[in-house]
Amino acid sequence: MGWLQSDADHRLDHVRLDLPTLQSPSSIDVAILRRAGIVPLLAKYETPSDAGLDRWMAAHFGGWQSAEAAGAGIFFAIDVDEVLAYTTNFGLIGGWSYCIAASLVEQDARADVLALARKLARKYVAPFLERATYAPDSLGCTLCEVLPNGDELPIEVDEPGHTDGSYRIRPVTSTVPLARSVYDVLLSALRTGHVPDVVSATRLLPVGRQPGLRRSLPLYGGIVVDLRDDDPVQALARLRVEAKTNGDGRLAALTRVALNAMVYGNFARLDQVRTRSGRRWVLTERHGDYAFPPLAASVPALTRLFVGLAEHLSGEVA
Amino acid sequence: MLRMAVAIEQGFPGRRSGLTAQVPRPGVADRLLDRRIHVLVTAAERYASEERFGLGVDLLANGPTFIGTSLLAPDGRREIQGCLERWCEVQYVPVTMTTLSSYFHWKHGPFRHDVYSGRGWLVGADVGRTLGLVCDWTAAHGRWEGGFTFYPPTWSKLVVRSKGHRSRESASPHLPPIRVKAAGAHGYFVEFGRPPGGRASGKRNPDGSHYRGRFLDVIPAAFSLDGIDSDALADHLGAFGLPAVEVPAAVTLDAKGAGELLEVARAVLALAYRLDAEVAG
Repeated sequence: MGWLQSDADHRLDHVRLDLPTLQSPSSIDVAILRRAGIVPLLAKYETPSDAGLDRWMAAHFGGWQSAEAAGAGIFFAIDVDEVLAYTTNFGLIGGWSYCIAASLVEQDARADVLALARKLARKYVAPFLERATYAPDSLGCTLCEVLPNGDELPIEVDEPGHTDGSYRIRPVTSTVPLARSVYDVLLSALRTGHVPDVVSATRLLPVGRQPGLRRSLPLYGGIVVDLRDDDPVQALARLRVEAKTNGDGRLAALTRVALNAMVYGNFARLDQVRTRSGRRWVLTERHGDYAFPPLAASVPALTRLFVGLAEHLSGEVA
Repeated sequence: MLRMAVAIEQGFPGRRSGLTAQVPRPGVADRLLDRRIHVLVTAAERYASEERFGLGVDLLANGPTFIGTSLLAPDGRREIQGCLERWCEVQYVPVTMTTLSSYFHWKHGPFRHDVYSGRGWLVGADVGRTLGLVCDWTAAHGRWEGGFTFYPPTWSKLVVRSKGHRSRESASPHLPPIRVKAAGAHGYFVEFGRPPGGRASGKRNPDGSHYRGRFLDVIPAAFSLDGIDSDALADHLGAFGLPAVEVPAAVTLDAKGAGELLEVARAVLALAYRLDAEVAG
């Protein structure tokens, strides 16, 4: 069976992917979310507000991750395999619960964040790793407003040899609060040994389950995902493993790209479009159907933290 | 410590208007094999002083059934007709020779009959370039600015206005332009625009909206289904286990050039069938 085809679809020769509209593997991801019945997140949730979304976008530093993204200095690891890091970290954040929730509420998490930051500042990493291992969903999307004073945070810089629009982790000082993901704040504490001045920390908590979700989602080749206790991200990851085992290079390559788009790319998507402004057409930006800045900011931030943890732990061993 | 006067921070453009909080219920998509398929491949003329249309090949299929092949030659080039006609005659599967204006003729041509009527698909590799080589260009406006707007041959006329200003307009109130705009890394949005004659003009959908056409560019569709970030046809053919063939940018106007394009057209059709099978199971 083809993508998103149920048994009945296959018997009736019904196709669920519209070939002319496919522009990239992320088109399949959008089709998966639609087929699952997931309402576009920014239409479904009133929280965060538009001002809140602005702050989340300010905390978004995504795209290609490299070891250098963990900060300046010598990196003791020979290599870092981040191919599936985004997928794993999407799960650790509880990303799917954000997709299927009925609503989001904001919770003050400042005390929680500061407690964790103090432990990391003392290089005591076990509490964070325990939380990631045994209570992964509790990490979530948390936005901090930080008054940095030499704290090492991701920031867009203009440095020789680096392309415009790329970010680096550098010591930053500011007289106005900067919005950063909690994971970037924790990484700063780990690297500098100093707890950043966290003015506020707000966690988004998914509540309930939206109506209209499919109970089961036909995915590909007869695989059906039971959405009551599974999700298409994990199913795609298993499909990729199976494809690699079976030597299906095409499917393995496709699912790798599709997974990264599903757990990050679609949530960060902004398109250039022309819109009418009075009598003129102007070039503006418009978010994608399933864009959601909190997830877009949190997934790469948690990846940076893990790279930083790896650097710290390999430094200890060295 | 790096000191900065200004930190560059992204902002959010705001929630999109028109995005509704309704549970999506996606419908059933059109299947390639349910309709006629015109695979169109074109190339520029090699060694010409400026880029211009050289040759084209059209493969016609009715769903999975292959029907015929046409070789498209540029209009008014009698000197090449002889050798191309001979080439057509010796092909194992007969090839019909036609000209660009005949193929796209606004009243009698197969493009109008099948692609604009709703009977079938136009399939190509790099559809923007394929059509851009053969069509007459005009200005792109509004949300299509930055893309291309053109008319197939015979669908438009040049109008001279005051002060010698010339513009291209549709030759009939029922004939729309074709609009193309790049989408993503390798894709295009391609559709028929609105015919100039108003609400009752041109081909209409059952709901009264103007017909946008069925155009399939195999490159972005293949990228979506094989994950290979490339605009080279050969890369996608290889991913689907098909013999790799590259689309030539230009060909000589002889049997060799015709043979090259025929091979590419067959590869595009084979890939289109594989893509259709991938989504249909």
